[in-house]
Amino acid sequence: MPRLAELQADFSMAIRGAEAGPVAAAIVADGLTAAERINIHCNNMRGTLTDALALTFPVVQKLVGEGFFRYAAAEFIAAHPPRSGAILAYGGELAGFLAAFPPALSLPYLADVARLEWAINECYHGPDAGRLDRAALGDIPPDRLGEIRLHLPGNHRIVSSAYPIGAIWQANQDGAEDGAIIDLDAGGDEILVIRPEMEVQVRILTAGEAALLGALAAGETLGSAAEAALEAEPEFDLFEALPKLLAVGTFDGFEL
Amino acid sequence: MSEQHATQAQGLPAASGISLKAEHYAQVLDRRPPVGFFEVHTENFFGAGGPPHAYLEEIAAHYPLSFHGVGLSLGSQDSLNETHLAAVARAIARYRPAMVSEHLAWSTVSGVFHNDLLPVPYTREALGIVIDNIKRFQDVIGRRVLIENPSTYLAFAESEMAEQDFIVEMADGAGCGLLLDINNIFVSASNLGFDAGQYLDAIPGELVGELHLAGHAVKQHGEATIRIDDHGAPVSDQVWALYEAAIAKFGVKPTLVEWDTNVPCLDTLLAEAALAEAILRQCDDARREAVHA
Repeated sequence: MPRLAELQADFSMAIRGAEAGPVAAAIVADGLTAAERINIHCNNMRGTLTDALALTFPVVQKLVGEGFFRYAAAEFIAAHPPRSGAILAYGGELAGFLAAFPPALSLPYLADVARLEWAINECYHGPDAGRLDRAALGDIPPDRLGEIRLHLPGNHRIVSSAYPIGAIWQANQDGAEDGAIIDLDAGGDEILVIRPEMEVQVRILTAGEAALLGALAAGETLGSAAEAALEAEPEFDLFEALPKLLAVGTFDGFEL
Repeated sequence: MSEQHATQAQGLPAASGISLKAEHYAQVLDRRPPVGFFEVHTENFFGAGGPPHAYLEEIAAHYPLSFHGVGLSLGSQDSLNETHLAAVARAIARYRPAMVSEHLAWSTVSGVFHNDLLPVPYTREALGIVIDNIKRFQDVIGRRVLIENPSTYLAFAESEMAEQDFIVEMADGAGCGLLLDINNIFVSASNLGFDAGQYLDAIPGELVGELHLAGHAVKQHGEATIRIDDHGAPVSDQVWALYEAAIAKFGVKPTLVEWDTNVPCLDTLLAEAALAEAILRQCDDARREAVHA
């Protein structure tokens, strides 16, 4: 093995583990031990990655507190170090990690909140999208409305959870009222994450809306998507739901 | 190839600039502060869209930009990550910044990215690898880049030359320029016990395309003092003094004041940039007087 490759493999092992190992012999001690010097890089790596995770997962951090978050982040970084230098794309595995992280099991909704925050991050950095206005649908003959295929933008995400994570997320936003009581047995949430302009929108969907958008995102026509919605929510009213979804910028185009 | 690169290298004004932080995007557009340029971390613009690009597009209409990469890992024995390189090239093609720079450091081994600028041993072997990687970088983006000297906390026993000699040979071999970080020189000199003035003396001024200034933290480990380059404080008095020495030696150079942790209000950064600007102007005036006399 070339010497530089060997040195870098040893160095990586030392800063990702606790002990200096074979790289210690390659470092001039002089005042500080090799282990202390390596520890500076170890702290840099863990500190900067933890800060990056805290920016992407602010509600997860609020729910568990900063101390626990930093501990969980250190464990996560050790188990799932970044595979790319694009730190915007770091943290996609945190939800899966938290779901199986024994110290976090008393908060069964935590992993789903992390999934929601990851969806928000992807939407934030995702491709910019246009917004389909209601007026654009005005020319379609009413008898052909069921045939159109409404298009959801590439940056949209739908997050489903067995827990009311939409309410949990909202209660932990800046400016939310303190002391909100959330009934964890209230049932799950289906959440739409979109960014029609610059600001990411997080909307809790009804069961019918979620089924409608799921079918539309899969490329089905509005007619068959509406049937799926009715099956999920017998009182679903397409002519009430569609204008609302259009008004918040849910779609960026359609085909007929 | 190198001639073509050289013609594009002098894009930044010989003035002071500041780091462009997300916290300040809206204010920068509202106030249009009088700074020479803004520098961004290239990797923060790897996303497809969203507010970072929307703001940067607008800011780019009013100021020269410097794209400063932190993740290409030019010192890796592994060949460059082509996905990362392509993303850097896309960002540069989109914004056509006045300057492109990266670090003498490595971050990646066996596919793991350490998110830290890790030290390179100053060996002939490493020099050859770094030169090849810089050449590849310049070939892919089609322009000359500047490479920044690291802040170091350790020395490798196997190093065969001093850092200043390594970076000069690196620049000569790769046909790149140098981004001299004055705070890094001070931090490394203090941590490893070398003479910062001698370091500056070894650098030919024509290689220097930009200077960096930043604050650092001072930590005590028992008897030993370690300076950590955290970009989280005002520039220290000793670093200002070293900067004055650098400007006296190299002449007026584009100078960036960096601030990346505990980011303060925009005015604090502007005040630091104004101090650097005053030193640059003083040097400029002194030179002019010398010419007239």
